[in-house]
Amino acid sequence: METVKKRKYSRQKKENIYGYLFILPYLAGFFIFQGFPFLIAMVLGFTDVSYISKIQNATFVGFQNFVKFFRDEYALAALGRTGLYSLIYVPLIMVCGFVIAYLVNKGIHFKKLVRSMFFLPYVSNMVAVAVVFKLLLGPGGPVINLLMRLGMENPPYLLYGLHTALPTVVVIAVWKGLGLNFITYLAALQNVDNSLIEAAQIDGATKMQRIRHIVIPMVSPTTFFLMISSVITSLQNFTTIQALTAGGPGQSTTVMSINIIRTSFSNFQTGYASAQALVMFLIVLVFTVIQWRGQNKWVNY
Amino acid sequence: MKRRIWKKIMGICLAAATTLGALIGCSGSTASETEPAAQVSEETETAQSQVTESESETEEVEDERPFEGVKLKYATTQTASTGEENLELIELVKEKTGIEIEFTIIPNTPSGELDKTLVSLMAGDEIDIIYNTVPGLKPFYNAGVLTPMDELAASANYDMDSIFGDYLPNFDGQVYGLPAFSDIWITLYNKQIFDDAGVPYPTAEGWTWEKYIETAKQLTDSSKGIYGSLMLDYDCYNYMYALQKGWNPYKADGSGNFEDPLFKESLEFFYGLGNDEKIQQNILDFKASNTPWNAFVTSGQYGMFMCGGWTTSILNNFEKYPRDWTVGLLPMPYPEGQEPTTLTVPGCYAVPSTSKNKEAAFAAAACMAENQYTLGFGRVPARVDLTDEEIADYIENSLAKPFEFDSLTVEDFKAAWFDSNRKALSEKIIGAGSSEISQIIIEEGQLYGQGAQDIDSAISKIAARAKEAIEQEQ
Repeated sequence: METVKKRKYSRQKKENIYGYLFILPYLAGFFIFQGFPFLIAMVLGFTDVSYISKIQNATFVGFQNFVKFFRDEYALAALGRTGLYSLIYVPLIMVCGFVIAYLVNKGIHFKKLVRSMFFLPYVSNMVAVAVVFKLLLGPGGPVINLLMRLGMENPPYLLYGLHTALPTVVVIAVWKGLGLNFITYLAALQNVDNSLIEAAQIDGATKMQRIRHIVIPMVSPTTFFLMISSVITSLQNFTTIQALTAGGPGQSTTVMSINIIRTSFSNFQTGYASAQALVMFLIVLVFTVIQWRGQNKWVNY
Repeated sequence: MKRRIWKKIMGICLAAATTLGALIGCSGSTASETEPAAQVSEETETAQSQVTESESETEEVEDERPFEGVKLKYATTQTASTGEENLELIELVKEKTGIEIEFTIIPNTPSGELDKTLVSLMAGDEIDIIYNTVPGLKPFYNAGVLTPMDELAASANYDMDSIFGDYLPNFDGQVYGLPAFSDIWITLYNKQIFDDAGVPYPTAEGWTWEKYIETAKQLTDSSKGIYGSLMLDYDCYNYMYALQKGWNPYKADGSGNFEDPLFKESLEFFYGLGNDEKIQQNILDFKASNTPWNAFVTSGQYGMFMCGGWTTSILNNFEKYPRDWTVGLLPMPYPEGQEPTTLTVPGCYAVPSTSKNKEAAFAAAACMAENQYTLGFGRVPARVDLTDEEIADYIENSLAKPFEFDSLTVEDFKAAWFDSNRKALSEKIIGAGSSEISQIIIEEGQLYGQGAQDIDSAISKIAARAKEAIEQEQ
């Protein structure tokens, strides 16, 4: 009996070793390219290091960079814009992803084609997407022409307006990222037990009631996963904004990620930029923990 | 038993294959990087073998080559290191000084990324020569990785001032580089548009902003999409008019000078060209239509283009920029009642502090700076000591030839690039916080230009943000 137990234990141990060996390349990559730079950024956040001065000249400044951040009206404004971006992006991409997946799942013609069409922007290069949208929304583009035909004398250039640039960028980002939410929801909806829906239908539940009380709770684990990833994506929005507006006009689309890059590589304040990155990381962490803790109240496994 | 051993071997092999695969994936880029490096060394060897051939021919001047056999490292990009101009340049240095220059390949630095040369120098890598513009050298100076040249010049009995004058990059009273050539601002004009509008070609004499605007108005026909003027969205357009009227970005005490009325006048002037004079696209249309920097040549829709002289390099590239209309050349306009001025940004050779043979590096830099223009690559020398004959000879036999299609004359070049009466002003703001200030001027200036804020708000925001940037760097 004991020999069998020992063999089992030994086999388990070997399997564990193989497991570790398999994940070793990923772990090595993670520590070299993410973990180590993260630790360095944490240390630099407490110094006044500049990338144009030698690291040995850096001095420890304690929480000075963090105090500076909360007094820096431009950095705080960037944080505010990041929040606004997320507030528009997350609900929009979640609702659109679900609605489109629901409609496609109900059965339409050319289902495969429609599925590919919605997923295509997700795998497209952001710079190419930016070029296309700049042409679409710019002077002489179809959007301006349409608005003029509808009687608007001076239609706004949406990407270049002080108050329109950020919402426009968000909508483009949603269009670009929608494919992932759509495909994931579609997979989840295909696993919803039809017998439950039919039973509800027999009991006289309306379509909306069936969606609200059966479909949405059944796909709640997917919603939970997509919510977390969408919040993180919305906070890490550098590529989209850099390609579309580069933070302008003025600072109207300068969000935290853009501000961090500028602070470090244009203004040479690497220590301060690292502190901002740390604040950003803590915000992402807090949101993720809150969502993780809150899942018990609404996610049905 | 055997089965278990096989399982074990298979498991280990699979894990090892995965790990190796990842490692090979990582090292793949290194392998591909070494390939061009090998090409470079081959090219360098070729250049060096050419140098060896010329060596025997010039034995008689060996005594005049005080650094015979000295080897120096010149940090440059892969593209520049294989370029004909650089290869000829290092050969020239070898001929004149005996110094052998080897290239240290530094990756290109796309916008927004760290300058790899600076990182290498800060890490202590031994480099003897670097190239950059005057504003580009400023971060190197701030990082303390440049050698001041005054002492080196004094011990070599080399009078930098009489050769390069105001082009010398001077930071806090010390010279940190030797300028090889200067990019001087000019006005290019499309003769076809002038002909179509029945407007006579303007002349360099008295080419003021008032004349520029008046001419551009006659050329503009917005119904055909033709504008009399094209300017880009660089920071310097915002303050060029102020600079030409004697404005300085910094006060004597080092603080910003953005509340000076001249700066305000300059912002109003530049954005007024589009908004009020309507001789060019307003800044909002310019940005929204993504007008490229080379639109003057590619579209043929602009009467005049006011920009740095480097833009002439596309005029004779007919394969990439085909055109059947010819171009005229004028100097940069200046405000009426003022002395003629232009903007400029000189390109310099500097000696990093990590160089182990600074005397030789200085000699090589001096040789490159003095002679690069003679190689025939269309450079405007940053030398103030050239005689009129030397300049005329250079323009006639070297500079003007590539522009035969446009029939540009020696006089055109002389007036645009070699007018000794025209004062050259720094195109870039050089000083504390300058990089951040440039960004601030663009942001706030363009908001004013597109009507999103009034001029006074723009000025006060620029002044406040510049103050912060200056204090931060100080």
